[in-house]
Amino acid sequence: MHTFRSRAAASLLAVAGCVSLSAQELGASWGTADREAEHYRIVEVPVPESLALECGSFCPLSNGRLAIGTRRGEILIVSGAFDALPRPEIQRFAEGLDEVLGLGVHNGVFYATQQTELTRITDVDGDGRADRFENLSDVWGFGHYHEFAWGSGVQPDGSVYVVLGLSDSYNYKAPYRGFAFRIDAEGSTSAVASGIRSAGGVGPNESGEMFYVESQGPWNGSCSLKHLQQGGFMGHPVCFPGYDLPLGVQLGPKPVKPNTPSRLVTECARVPQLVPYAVVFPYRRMGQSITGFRVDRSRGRFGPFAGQLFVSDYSLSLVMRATTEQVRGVWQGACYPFREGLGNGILAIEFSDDGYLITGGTNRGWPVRGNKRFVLERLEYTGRVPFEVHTVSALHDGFHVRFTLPVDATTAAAPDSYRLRSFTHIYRQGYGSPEVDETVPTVAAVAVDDDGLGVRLTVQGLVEGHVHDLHFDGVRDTNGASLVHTVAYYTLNRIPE
Amino acid sequence: MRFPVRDALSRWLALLALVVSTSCGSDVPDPARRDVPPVIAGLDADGLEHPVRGRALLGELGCVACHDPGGLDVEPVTGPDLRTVGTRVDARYLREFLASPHDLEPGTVMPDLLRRWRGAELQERVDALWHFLRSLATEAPVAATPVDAAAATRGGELYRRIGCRNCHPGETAPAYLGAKYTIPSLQRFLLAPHEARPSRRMPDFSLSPAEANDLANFLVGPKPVAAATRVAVDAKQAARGKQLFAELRCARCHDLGAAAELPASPPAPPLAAVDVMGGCMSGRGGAWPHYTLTSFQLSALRVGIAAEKAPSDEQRVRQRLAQRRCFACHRRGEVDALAARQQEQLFGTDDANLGDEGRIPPPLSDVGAKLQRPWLERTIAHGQRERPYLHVRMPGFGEAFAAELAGRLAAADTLPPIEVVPLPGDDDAARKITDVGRELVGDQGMSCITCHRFAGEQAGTMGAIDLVHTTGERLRPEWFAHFLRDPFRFKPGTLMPHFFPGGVSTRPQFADGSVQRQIDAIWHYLAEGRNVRKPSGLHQPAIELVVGDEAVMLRRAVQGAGKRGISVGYPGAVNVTFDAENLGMNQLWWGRFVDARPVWTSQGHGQAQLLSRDVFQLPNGPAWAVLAAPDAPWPTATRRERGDRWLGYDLDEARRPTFRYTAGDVAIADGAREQRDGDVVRLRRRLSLTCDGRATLWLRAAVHAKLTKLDERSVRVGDRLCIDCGDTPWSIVTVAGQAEQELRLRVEVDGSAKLTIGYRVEEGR
Repeated sequence: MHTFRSRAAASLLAVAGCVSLSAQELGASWGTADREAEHYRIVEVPVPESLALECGSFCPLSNGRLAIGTRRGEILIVSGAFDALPRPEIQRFAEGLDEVLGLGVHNGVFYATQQTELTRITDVDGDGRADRFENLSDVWGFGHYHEFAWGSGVQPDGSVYVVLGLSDSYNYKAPYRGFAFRIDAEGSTSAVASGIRSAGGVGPNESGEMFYVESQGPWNGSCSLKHLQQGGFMGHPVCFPGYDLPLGVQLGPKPVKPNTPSRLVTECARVPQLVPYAVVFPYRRMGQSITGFRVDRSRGRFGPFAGQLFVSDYSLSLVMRATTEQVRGVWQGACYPFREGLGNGILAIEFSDDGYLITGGTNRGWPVRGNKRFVLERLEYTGRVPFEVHTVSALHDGFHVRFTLPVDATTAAAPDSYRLRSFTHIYRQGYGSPEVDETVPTVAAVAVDDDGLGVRLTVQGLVEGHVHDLHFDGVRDTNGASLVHTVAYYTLNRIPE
Repeated sequence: MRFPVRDALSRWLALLALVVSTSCGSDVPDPARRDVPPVIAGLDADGLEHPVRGRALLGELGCVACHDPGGLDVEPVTGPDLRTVGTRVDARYLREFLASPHDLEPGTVMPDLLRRWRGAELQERVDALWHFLRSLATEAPVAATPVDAAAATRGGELYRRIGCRNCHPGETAPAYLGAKYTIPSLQRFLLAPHEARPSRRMPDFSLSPAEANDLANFLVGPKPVAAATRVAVDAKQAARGKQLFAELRCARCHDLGAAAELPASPPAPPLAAVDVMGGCMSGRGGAWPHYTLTSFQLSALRVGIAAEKAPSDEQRVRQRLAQRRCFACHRRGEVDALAARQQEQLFGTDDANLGDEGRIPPPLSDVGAKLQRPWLERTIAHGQRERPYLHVRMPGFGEAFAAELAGRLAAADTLPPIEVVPLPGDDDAARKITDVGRELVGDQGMSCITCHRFAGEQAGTMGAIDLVHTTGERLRPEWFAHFLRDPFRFKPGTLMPHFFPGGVSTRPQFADGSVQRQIDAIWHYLAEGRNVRKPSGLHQPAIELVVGDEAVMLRRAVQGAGKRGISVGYPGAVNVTFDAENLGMNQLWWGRFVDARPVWTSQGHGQAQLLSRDVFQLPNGPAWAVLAAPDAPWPTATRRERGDRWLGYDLDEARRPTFRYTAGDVAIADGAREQRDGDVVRLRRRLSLTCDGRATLWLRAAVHAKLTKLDERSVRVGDRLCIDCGDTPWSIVTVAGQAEQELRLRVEVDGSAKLTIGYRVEEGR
């Protein structure tokens, strides 16, 4: 039995004080870490350096245990990570796998997505270590280290979703790169979608629809959360040869190649399979390389955002929130700043039943703000409700904004407490995009909700297909305090009828 | 008069017209003679002021050669040196070019001087000028050589790689070149373009003679027609040509030197007195040099002439950059001609990981404040290759222009004052500071080396510009201090994260968290140059996987077994790789297991290294086959084509795997364990086959030039590896047409079958 016991006392991570002046500067930190820390603490879960822990995926287990899939190919089972002063015991359940970027458990059996395949892993003799490794699906080609495969946990129907990044994140050099697959519990594999570039995590949104994370790059002006619509095309056309393969045929005819340079909204009209990017994360203001997301199912133990998505970023070592909604058949939604100052490039994020948010990752190979090589951290709610934007949802003539605390009626009702800006990205073959086609919609009227927890903004100049920056600088709570984060970004693919 | 060259140009013209019309707008061409507007790449850049475009055009089109610009800031352009044109250019081509320059060289800035004449009147003047120009040549024409197809292929790659298309639009080379130049003549031009074209609008790419030869072979096309025809010069015609040369004001652009003793050219009105709707700018033919200008170009010219306000330092810089086509590759501030271009095609990279910075040359914003003056001048004068991953090459524009532009850039580009504390004179004190810099640059600090090369070495997958190679002589410390404080201000698209967001260091543990001290320390460390002490993390130590009492497995790319390779180290120091793509055990070695560093550091782009030089190769590819005859060639179909499946593996009590896969309808369990015999460790492989019914399968256990039967059970492979086939029938097979022999085991499966194979090394052999 390989067990590590950390002798180090739990340490609270010191959070660097940040000047709030430049909070909204392009690429600066949000500058809100001090205020964030009043509501959400970052706690380092001590793990021995010799473990060389590089988290790639998490899977919560019963009895407060947590399974970790690592980049170095292990599955570790951690007990005690959620104790008040965590002194975890770590048991190595399996090893010798290849970049475990997806991990789920079903009936006591693990389902690990590794670069090469989806593997069912069983401890047959019950000694606490895996001894049977069954390949459930290895239909995809794998010829380049940068062909990452990210997997979901096991879905209620027993299936696992796997999204396949392109070869070196630009090309199609092996079968099915850029495709997403659904693999059932017995390994039967079917195509879900195409057009993926450099994927991150995959999983259900608040409503159980499958989404995945996409990075900025060719055909992607910025990072985004995308809806894995059955038969959908996620935007990068280099994978089209895969439509000719046996499983690719399941997606129907090859889409028309999108024009470049263009706009997503323009090409969606030309290319029926093209699915608008549901939640766009404006580059650097909202992460630089988003990697994973999970829904807060802790029923309020993690604070006022129960049921929302929490999204991790690699480059900037931070966590954001997102909400999605379906409008006229298309998924869209908003993202919000949440917590910065994590220790390394986050690859994996997961909630425990107790309402802790666990993060972990790596800091090798790509630039990253957090500089800890091997670290496991958890975010915990202090019990003090932050004054935050809870949700932005679209209305036919504006936005409905809900807050976590009752607002001061005077400032909340004043249109000049709000500032809007809209923009989109160039949809093109080139790398990323500046923010273009900027407009300045205006708030014509504000109606405060009866419960004082929200406002209905009547907006002139909504632009379908644009990201709308909503700034709430003037809004105060009933104590006169400003919001912890004064901005949200809503991707308005469709204006509701 | 016939223009045989012209027909070959139609495709090129159509393409060019497309480029021009999309970028500049277009006028209706004269149907009698095809006209193409001059092309000045990058002049349509977004953000470039229209008067700046206009003044750039006044220079580029040669307007101010005749019309005195007065106080207007216009830099005139000198035309090609015509004293050598008879040596450089095909005689027939020259004659046709004189008659219709825009037809022959679409996009040229040369006006059509003979536009007003037709028929015999035109012919007479063309002939006279032609004889005159040929009379100037002192050297014989450069003889033609046949096209070298391989060189032309290489030349085409070079043409697309180094950025030629950024100024010469279109996927193919200008079609007229094969009529104009012989290969040696074009090669000579490419090696020193400024000799023929002193304006240096065609800059010097510092081509090697071999590169110039490759390019020339490509540029002339597959069937060049240019030849080194010697033509007798008619003295009378030449004298008439000389007179015409002066009358038509050719000498205003083409300097023939004092020795030419040309008659005086007629005067032209100063620019301020020019009718901007008439003459050259009317779009009609007449007693003036004929230009075909787009409405965009005309409006720029008119605005440029009319502008009363003196240009700012920045506008003077932009004007000069526009005249050198710098905006075809660089952005500066809001001036951007690149957004509208097919960047993937025009800008290639060796390091796609670096995003646009690995592809597109650096922006020229603040470059006068960024680069030290001597470096800046050297770069403009002679070109630069600090970013070897960029395919486009920075060419040289000559020392005179470099000095002028560098001065203007220094005046235009200023940054707010910022303090960079110099290193103390005391060596120990200085060392303490550079040590902080070294820690910050290393993997325990900001890990700059994750993305940047360092003194020629690369720690990881990404190889962005070298941190120390030329930093101390290249960058101004004040710029560096500003840049690190806010990289996105200087490089809006950079992948570099902000390490001092909001003016706070993300590494508070160094130098008391002082931003000033940290940035100064990094600067002083990097400025020490390439002999600097290396930072931590540049060389990652080996990560040797050590095998103890239990087997160790690594599933990641491994030397010799590919991306789906599985390495297994057994207790007792015997190891194998199993290829889960091709389904077979394909390597075997004794001793230490593997180094995982190449797959567990940086982006994990390498392959695990076997820690032995003594590796025995077993045949890769599907190990099992159904054969029509014992010596039939081994099937070449891949396992996926055959429908064979990789099923996975089980581990025993010591974590030794038994691999499970199929061959046709037969399920195979393929495991091994070490077997100690005194000091000798053997590997004993046990295979179990099951199927419904019966099958005969062959296992290919070895392929080698030297297979030696040792006894009824054993075969030596090469000199040292011995394979014990146990009770299974085997044979050494010679396959027709194949030099190497094969060791094949025949397995009869009747519901099930088992076999064992032993592997050992004969020591001392």
